[in-house]
Amino acid sequence: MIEKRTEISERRRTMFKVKERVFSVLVFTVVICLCAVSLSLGQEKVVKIGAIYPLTGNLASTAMSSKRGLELAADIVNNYYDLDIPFARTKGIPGLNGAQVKIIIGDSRGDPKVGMGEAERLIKSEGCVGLVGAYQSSVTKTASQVAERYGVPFLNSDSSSYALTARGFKWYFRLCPSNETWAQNLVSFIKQVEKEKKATIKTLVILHEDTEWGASSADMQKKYFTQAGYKVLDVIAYPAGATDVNSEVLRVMKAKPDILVMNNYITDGILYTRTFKTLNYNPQHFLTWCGCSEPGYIPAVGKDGNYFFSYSEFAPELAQKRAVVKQIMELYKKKYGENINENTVRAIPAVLLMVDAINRAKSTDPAKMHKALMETDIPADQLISPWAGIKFDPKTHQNIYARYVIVQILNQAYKCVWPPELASAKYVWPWPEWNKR
Amino acid sequence: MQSILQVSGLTKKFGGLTANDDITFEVNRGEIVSIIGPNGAGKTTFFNCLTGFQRITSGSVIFEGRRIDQLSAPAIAKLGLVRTFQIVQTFAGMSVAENVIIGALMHTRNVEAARKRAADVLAFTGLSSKKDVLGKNLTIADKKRLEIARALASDPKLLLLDECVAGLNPNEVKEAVELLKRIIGAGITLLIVEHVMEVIMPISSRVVVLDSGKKIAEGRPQEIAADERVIKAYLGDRYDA
Amino acid sequence: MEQLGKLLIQMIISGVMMGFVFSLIAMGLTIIWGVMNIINFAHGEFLMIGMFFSFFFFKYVSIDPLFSLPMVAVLLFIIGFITYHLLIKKVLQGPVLAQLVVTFGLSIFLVNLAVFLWSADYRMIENPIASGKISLAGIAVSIPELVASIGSMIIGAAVYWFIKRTKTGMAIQAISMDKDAAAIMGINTDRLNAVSFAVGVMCVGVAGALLSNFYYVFPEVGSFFGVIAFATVALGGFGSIEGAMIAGVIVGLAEIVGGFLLAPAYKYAIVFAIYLAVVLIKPTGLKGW
Repeated sequence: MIEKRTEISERRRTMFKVKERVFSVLVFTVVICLCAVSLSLGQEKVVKIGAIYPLTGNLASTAMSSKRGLELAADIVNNYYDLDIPFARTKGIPGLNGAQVKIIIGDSRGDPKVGMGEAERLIKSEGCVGLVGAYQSSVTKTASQVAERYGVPFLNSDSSSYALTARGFKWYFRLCPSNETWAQNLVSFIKQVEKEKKATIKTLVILHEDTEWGASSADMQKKYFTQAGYKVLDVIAYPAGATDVNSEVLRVMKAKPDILVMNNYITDGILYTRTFKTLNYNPQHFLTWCGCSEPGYIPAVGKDGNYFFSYSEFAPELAQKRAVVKQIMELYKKKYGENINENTVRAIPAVLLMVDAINRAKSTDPAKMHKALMETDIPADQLISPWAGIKFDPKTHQNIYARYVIVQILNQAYKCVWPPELASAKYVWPWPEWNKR
Repeated sequence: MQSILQVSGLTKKFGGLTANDDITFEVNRGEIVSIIGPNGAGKTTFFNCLTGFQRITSGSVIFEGRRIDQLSAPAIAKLGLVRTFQIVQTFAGMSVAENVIIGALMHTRNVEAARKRAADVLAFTGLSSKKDVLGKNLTIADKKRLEIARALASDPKLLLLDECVAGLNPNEVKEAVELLKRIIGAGITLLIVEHVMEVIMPISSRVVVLDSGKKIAEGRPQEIAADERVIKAYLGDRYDA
Repeated sequence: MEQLGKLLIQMIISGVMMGFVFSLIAMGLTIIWGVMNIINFAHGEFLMIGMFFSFFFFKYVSIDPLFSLPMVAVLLFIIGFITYHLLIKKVLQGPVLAQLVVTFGLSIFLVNLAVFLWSADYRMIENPIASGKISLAGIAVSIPELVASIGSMIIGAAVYWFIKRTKTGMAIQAISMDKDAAAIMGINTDRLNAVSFAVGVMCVGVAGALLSNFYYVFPEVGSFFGVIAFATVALGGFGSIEGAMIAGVIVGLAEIVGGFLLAPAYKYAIVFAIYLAVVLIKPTGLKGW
């Protein structure tokens, strides 16, 4: 009797256990499904774009401008702004149910190895759908190798080494002009100077810092100036981050070129300016590349920065022609309390193009994004850069419409002097000697 | 006779190893006491303990009526108990004169006064002719002499010499012994650790013998020379054979 | 030929002038190494702090770097003293690795602190009293560089006098040559460690203040000079003050003359080649013991 009762209660208990199990499995399944749905919804909601910049190290101030550009671009995409550029008047990415864009920053410290590690982290751990960056050509080189390996688009809008597009990578796209473009632009400008100013320009010396970027730029300048019939007297390499540049300047003085073509970063740029002045070195003119265009340069050297020619990928003159450029300049100034500079202007289109590709692909699937990128054909009037548009060469993935403007520092401000259609000031040639100013 | 240094029950252990085991003895003012013993008897450890380079495990050291076993090396030196090292430690990059000036600066801030005192000490120790030579360029004998000179310049009351004649040739040994006699003549008490017995025995007033960290004998040189335990310690088992 | 001669004289003058500044920086480093056997990886960062102080004195109180120099020196001395007591003292008894890591960490901390407080921007003192140049027979001498080199020489000489002729200085020397022997000479290592760390930091801070007359100021500036300072100290002999003084001038000359005669790209390679050559012949450096 007692046994029986125990048996029944035992059976009941087993029955109950079975029911309970079925129920709990059901609940569990529902929860999992809900999680998965919400997860996938979540995935659709935020699109992560990885950005690699040298945020610490001696380019930190430059990289800060780039970072702000990225944030501004993301902000324009994510929120409503009454601006006449794509994605401003919508919230999020329309083709992806209004998904929000989030920029995940990786600090390369200017070191190619670190940049590589950061690219890996952004793709693998952060799940970024594409990368932008990485300023220095040497870092871009390694970071884009990682993107190539994982099959993720790498949109590069601020490295100019010719070698980067020569690799024929599938996933690497360059929006900005290369140092080959710059060499061609320089030669055109000098030809124009010879005609307009009746100047006799026959010889030049090329001075460059010795990383990948400086060396490849110097190669291109040597090639195009030689082709155009000018004589390159000397090509002088020097270590980036030098504490003193007397020996470099004295070597240039010994060679006595008509013009000095320089490829340098801001730190050496400041040092060169001081040294030229001390040694009273006055060629017909200086054509500089990069160093004199960085935001810290004019505040650091003051009046001594006047008359140097430099390059820019941003022409504030565009603001007079297109209202949106002016609006973005004002928006930036309001948000960060400083004037927009070319590093900011370069960073913005990389984000916008990534968004555009996702929008057209209606997906973050790499293959679809790749197809969309290859089909890109953005006209100049949708850009805030002085480029003639964005369209990639099918083989090299170089933006064939990219170009630079040449600026001269006049009264401690950059004035566009070339190409003629964007010029806003008359340039000064020859160089006014240091002790006659 | 008045005692200047009293060591009682000094014990120094390194983990399980006892380097100095319950050592007790006194040094009187004006005496010249030698500590002898075979290699590894704990002589140098004993010196390190007296001069504050190593902390003793138990026991006490009293110098001029004051307990010093917890003081730092510089503080002990300032009280007037100064040592030299078995492996000479001159200031290699300084001249002989500068080395001695450092010693003389112990009790004055005035560098000129120190310079004068150093000159006297150099004359006393016979180093005047080498005063501009750099410490590192001296011969071993001169380095040992310089260490003594430097210590003397600091006006010590008790000078501890660690193997000051080891490694010298007979001629240099003779000169060193002459110097020791002159130091005694100047009223400075000496405590000497020496491996070479025959040099030091004749000038010592008393001898303490250490073996395996323990004091095994103490007495006048002649007594010690005849002590069986001492001979056994030095000659080991061969004596028995 | 005449032009080449002029260029050479120009280079030698510039080289020697920079050299004296390197000497002062290296003196600070070598004192700290000699006394504590600590490699101060944050040395360049103290230079940066000296530069920033000069800059701030100029910008906010309108005191020229030349006149704020004594104040910068005192401030850096105090910072060195505090750093020693807060940080260095704690690790001196610890393992060697801890000693290495602590100054390395301090260096990273100071750079980032500077970026945080003052941003990564480049700054320059515009039109200080020491500006312009003197031209003599076609040789140009930059006045700020001249002032920096004379200033470095004076401060260097003062520190040299302090080390060689005062009781504290001689004690510092004694510690750097032999700690045990110094102890039996009644020299209190702990007090002097603090003094020598402070003096070392003051040297490099003063060099920074002098450099600020013509060199741009930014948080990472220390790394450039830091690397040169290590090579200079190694060349002169670790711990040797005379060695640091001589080696500073050699490095200054090698950088400029060597860079000119061979190729600027190799100028630091030349500095290190000289160092290697010296070390092969004399492993302790020029004046080491």
